[in-house]
Amino acid sequence: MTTMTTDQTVRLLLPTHTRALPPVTARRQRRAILTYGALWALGALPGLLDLGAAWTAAGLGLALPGGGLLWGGHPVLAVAAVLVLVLSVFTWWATGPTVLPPLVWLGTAGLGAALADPGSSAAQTAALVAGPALVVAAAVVHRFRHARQVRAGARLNERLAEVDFVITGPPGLDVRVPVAEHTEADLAHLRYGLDLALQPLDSFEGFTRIDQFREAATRYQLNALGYGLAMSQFTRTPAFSGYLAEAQRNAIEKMLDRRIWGYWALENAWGNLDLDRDPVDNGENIMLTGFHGLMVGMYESLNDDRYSRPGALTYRWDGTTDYANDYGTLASSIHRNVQASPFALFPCEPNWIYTVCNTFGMNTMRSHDRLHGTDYFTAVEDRLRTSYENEFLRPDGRIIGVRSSHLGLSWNLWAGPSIQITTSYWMHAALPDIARRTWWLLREHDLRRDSGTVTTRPTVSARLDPGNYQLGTDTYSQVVTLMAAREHGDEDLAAEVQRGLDEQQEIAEADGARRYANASGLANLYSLLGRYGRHSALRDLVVFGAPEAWRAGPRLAEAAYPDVLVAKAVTDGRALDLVLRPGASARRTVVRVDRLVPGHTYDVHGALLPTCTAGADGTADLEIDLDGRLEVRVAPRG
Amino acid sequence: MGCCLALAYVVALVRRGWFAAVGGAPAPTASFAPPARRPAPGGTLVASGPAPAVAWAPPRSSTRARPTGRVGAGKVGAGTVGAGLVGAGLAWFVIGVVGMHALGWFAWAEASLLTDTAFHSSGLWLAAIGASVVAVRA
Repeated sequence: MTTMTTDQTVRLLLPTHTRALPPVTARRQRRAILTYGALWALGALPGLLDLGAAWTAAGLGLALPGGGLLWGGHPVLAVAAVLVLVLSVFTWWATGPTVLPPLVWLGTAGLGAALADPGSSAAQTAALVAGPALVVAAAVVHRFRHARQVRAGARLNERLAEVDFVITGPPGLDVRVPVAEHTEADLAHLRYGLDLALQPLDSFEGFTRIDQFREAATRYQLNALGYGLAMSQFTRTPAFSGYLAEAQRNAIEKMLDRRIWGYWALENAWGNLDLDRDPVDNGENIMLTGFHGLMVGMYESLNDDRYSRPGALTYRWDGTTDYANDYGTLASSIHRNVQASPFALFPCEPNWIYTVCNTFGMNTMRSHDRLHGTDYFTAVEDRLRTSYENEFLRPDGRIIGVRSSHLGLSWNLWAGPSIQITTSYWMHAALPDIARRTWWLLREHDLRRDSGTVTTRPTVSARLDPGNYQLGTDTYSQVVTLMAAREHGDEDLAAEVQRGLDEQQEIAEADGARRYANASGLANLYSLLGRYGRHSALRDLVVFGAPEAWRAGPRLAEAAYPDVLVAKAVTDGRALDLVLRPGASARRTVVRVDRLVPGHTYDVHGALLPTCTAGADGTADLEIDLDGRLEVRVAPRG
Repeated sequence: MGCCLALAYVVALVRRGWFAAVGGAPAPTASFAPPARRPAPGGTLVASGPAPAVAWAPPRSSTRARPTGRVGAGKVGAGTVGAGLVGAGLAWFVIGVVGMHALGWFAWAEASLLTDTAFHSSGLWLAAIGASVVAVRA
């Protein structure tokens, strides 16, 4: 391993939260409570003014969901009204229809009015008191929990004061960890991703298809596919473009299919009452711009800048309507939205801000800044850091996974280990100190090693495969643990998790491709990112990019697939070293090398001929016999 | 139970309408893609399996400018689907009301006000979803 001279060590304590609510969140919650107070006052008036049974029931229904039904002698319907409202809030959270909970609330109030029989004054009082009592109870519970979390944070800070976190710097030309060679198992799992990506652009065979709104959406599988393929290129075959780069391009361009991004038209309509379908030029939807932008940033860091040309990323609705974008417009829209958001972080679905989604936005800005000289991320870094440390962090160091931008509310369901692990991984590029502290906390509290297996604290989100909404499996949790452990340099733990996945999961295999049989497409594709990761791989790729020698030196430009599987491809800027394996039967085939010096003669080892001369375009074809592991070296003569 | 079935039915219809309008077909689990093939340099490109027939497919790359307005016309098929949902929803509502209260059908749903309301509102929700599809794609 290369000795790093530019790494830094830092200490990072948990912020000392003196107030129960951070400032922006407090403002949003005050506004929500005042709005409810006005509604409650309006609802109380009809009863106080004796406007009749129907108006009284309607008013009580406004003061408390189901309140009018309760007063009118329909307790079962009142409970049903509350349940339907809860369901509508869940639907709002899941798919963004902001209008649904108010409509349901109003509807149940109307139903109460329609069925109203004069009720007792006790029921009226109960309906009027219950709502404010719930608000007060929630505030009291929050205060107690906050105080407990503050005490836990203080105890943790005593230990954190003595913990040094290593923030890795530029890896240099020699790269932090030398380029590795794919094992046969690595190549088999890679073929699963390659086959998915190399099918025609309008074809989506093999992807999990359930919905296009939540975690099982095809776009997230495409994102993971692009990231996994890019990571395999970065850590194993940086000097190979060929079908591997084509597969990444396909994943990027499949994102432009309306079936993939068209969900936004509906979410914007029912979430913002806005019929504009533009998936980029809006104040939300970071789940598209951030995720898609990072795919492009990774591709451009390793290959070419075709997606930075105007219109290169055109989201087409139909023959007459399209939305022309490129890498730059994605990054600038994220930057603009961060600036405009009071939380700095901005929503995915209308209203709902996710901390992990915003890490993708940071990574898109960070990689764009490096590649194009912009300062999108640096201009907003302080605001983002402050928000992550205050608005979206509990005093005990647990990252708050989701918060309503309208109401300021969050819930613990989305603060389990999987969310923490995932965020610690994706945050490592842009805010490495917070990411390192989060990983340290996970190692302290959530990750358990027991007789050769690694498990997380049993919570709902840790036992969910979000790629197919299956409960009861921790495969996805294992996969994200693998990703994060590798990224944070916890290689012993990562190797243990990888071994557990490979030995304990049922494996499906077809035509040389391999996947975990009982996991979703999302889990399988993120497993590629974990499998090909290494210490600070994501951070190196996003923040520092590929060494110049990789971008200018000779590379393997074309090879037959699956006949030629590329296990390793690396250049020092002058020579090219390859390790190739057959993907089918033994055969004689041709591979093409480019970025050679035109007209120069090269010594070749491992091919049929001992020398080759580069053509005027800097390419040369090599004929090889491939019947097992084959090392090929192309080096300048002399 | 009847209420749940009605809801499930509505959800199934919505899913069907969605896939008809937006394209594609739902498949519940992940699987392998068809094995891809790429030729050696100088060889002939071999397509990796047939692409399924789709209502709309984007070109590989595009440099069309951002439109100045949002006036793109929706497809006739999508409009038809949306209108169909509106029609089916309203028809279901009318059939429900007439059938239940005039002809004595759907007694199971008439058993309580809750199931009665859910039963009738299912048609209205379906119509509202159809109207949304039409509005969004207009």
